[in-house]
Amino acid sequence: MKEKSILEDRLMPLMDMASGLPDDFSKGERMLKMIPEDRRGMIGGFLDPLSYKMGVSAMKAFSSYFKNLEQGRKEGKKVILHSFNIPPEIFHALDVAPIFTELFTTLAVNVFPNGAEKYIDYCHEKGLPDSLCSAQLGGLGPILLGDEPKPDIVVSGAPGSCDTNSKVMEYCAKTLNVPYLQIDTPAYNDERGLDYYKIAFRDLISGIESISGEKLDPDRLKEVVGYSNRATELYHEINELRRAVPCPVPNMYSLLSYGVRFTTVGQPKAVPFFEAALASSKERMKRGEGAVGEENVRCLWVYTSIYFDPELFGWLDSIGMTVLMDMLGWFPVTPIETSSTDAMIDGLAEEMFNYPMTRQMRGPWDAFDSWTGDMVHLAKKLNADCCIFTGHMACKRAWGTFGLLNTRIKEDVGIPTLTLEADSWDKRITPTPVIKGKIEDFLEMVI
Amino acid sequence: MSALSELTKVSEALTNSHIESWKGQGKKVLGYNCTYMPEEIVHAAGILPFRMRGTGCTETTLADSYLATVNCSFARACLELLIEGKYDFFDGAIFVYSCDHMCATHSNWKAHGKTPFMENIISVPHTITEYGLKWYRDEIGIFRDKLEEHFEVKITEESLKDAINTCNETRSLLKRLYELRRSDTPPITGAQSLSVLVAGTSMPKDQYNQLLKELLNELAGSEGVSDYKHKLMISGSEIDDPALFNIIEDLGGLVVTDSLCFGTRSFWEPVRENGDPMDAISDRYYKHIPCPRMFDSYSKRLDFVKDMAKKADVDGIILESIKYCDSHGVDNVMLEGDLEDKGIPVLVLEREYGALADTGRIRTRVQAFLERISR
Repeated sequence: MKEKSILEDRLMPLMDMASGLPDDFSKGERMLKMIPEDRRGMIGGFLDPLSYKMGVSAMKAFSSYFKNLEQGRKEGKKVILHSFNIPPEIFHALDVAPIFTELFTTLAVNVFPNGAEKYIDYCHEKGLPDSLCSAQLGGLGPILLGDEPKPDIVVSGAPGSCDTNSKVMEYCAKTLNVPYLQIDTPAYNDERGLDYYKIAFRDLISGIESISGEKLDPDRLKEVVGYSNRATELYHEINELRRAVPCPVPNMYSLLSYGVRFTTVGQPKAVPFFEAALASSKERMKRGEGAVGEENVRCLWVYTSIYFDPELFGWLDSIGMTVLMDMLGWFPVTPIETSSTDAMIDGLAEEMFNYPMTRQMRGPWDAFDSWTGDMVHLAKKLNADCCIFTGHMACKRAWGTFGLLNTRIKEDVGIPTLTLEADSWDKRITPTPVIKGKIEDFLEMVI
Repeated sequence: MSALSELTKVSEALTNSHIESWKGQGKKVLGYNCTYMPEEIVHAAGILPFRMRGTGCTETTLADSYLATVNCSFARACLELLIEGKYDFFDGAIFVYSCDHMCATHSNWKAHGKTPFMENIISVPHTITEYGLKWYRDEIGIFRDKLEEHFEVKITEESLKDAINTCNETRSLLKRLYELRRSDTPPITGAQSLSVLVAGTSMPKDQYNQLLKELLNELAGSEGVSDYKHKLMISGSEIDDPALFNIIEDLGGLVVTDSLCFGTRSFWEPVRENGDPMDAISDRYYKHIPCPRMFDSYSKRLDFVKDMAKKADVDGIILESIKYCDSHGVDNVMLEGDLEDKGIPVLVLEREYGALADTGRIRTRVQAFLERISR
């Protein structure tokens, strides 16, 4: 184990800096402009006065999340390494220190000059197949290499929606010799499926309680769910604004929203982010302005986004492409009933049951609320002109039914879809210039 | 014709004289994809369960338009044969959610609308729990109801018990075959054994059991194989074509046992014959020797592999997986470490499904492995 983990050495200083940005745009602008343009990454997008507060709030939320992890480690709290598709509320309520593999990977690809390549390659050197998902390998690699401390518990929410993710987490727990808990997802989204899931969710909580020694405190749970509900209400209000033409919600919101959702929802820091995003979007709408300036095309990304190059979002802005949403940003959840502890646990289970990817990838393609159903619904609701599918080679279920989805979108919505073979976390597979070229060709020839 | 020749013939093509005769009597055939599908229920309905395979498929051009190249070649081969009309003799098909590839194959199969009875996928939990067992029991109960409704048949407790007895007899006969394979001069090769196993998923069970009994009698008087260098075990992804076994055995290896879903994992454990038959069936199928699609059962898989290897006294184990099968791919990495730690030589081999496209590479790797064992 290195003297300083990646978190301490690279992430915390960055988070401290970003979260230290002043609330006042004019002061923050001066500070941001001191960073060379080619080094600003995503925070370059904060230079828009209307997006500034939203961006800074997101950074503050991320910072509080990492501080919780850092502090938790110091205080001897149990650290839980989990897959992205588990609502953080349950961990916040249990007072443990969560971190998810995909977040490590996403941050690594944005912090290190060669992204997470070192860590992905290390996993392959250990013999793991090259068809696994870089999103997990980039987060697992630092732990296997000793660049990051090993967790106390590994928790997976992927069984039933992603074999690859589930298998990597199983390997991770076995290799690190730590307890492994998982929640199994049935293939059906009906009431029977949800009832099963609620039992499994309680089983998961019991497992964490038993290993961590923490007990779910009803008061703390109520507080967490209260913050979560507020964020959910704001989230849906923002989604309604996305229907407007031109779209007043900035492209960057798409990524930041689920970044915040996956980390700090259920904590006070998440709420100002959604409030700022809503306020700035309302202001733009009042002025009749689109967030990308002149809106040339409205695009629904029907799967994941690209995470290794935040500059891509600046480029999409520059060509007037509105990113209406990507699949990871779609949370068809409702505020949770807080009348009893049981009701809150059931509500969190239902939220998780409808988490992105868990909801869309678990069963038959033609179910009402399957991937197909959701994307057709969103394309219509958000007035999309086209769609983009970024197919990661690890996503066997998505690739296997994308042809059916593509046809359905064409037939039911009447819009085309661009197929991008890309690894969202590894630029070596499809580099940014190739992605830009494909999007340009698509817009020129099809749209 | 000897029983072995007859069984081999059945395994070499998709259809055979037994199916033709069955269909000629107006009886139905139901395709299925995985060992988590309880065939007793289908038998009890008077329907012939047929385990899907890609036999005879030499390219997947049509299937590649629906599935993707990152989907395993077994899944693509099966879909290709469906689109080509080779599975037109199916009166129905039932899929269990074995893996993401198979879930996607089910969706595409259903979307093609070529199979008359095409139900929703059977959702098998990925973990072993009490509520998981109940869920699985309910799932196969729903399947039973749908089968009765569509084919207008009644599945009685009696017919289920009869089916359990018949299938258990198959399991018992196959175990006897595997015991014979453990001797120093096994009377049957690994490739021949695989053909015998595949035949059992492609013809009526009572006829199969009769042929198995004849086979065991034939083998009892045979000389046995002695011109091999090393006894091997094979474990991993779906194999229904003896091509890989032939390579191994041509090079001096002899496959004497396995942990495969067309092999031991499909028959090693019987269904208990007392109590409620649906309970007994769900208990056995849910908890049988687990495929790596079960994410909490690694130690059980490892123990089974070690146990089978020990019983057959093998010199090494080949852990194979079809390219893009991440469940077996990752499991094989874990197994490799644990087996090598126990002093068992292991070869991890990634391959494509079916008749081998990369024979040269596989031959070289197996050859090197056999040399390593010889040292």
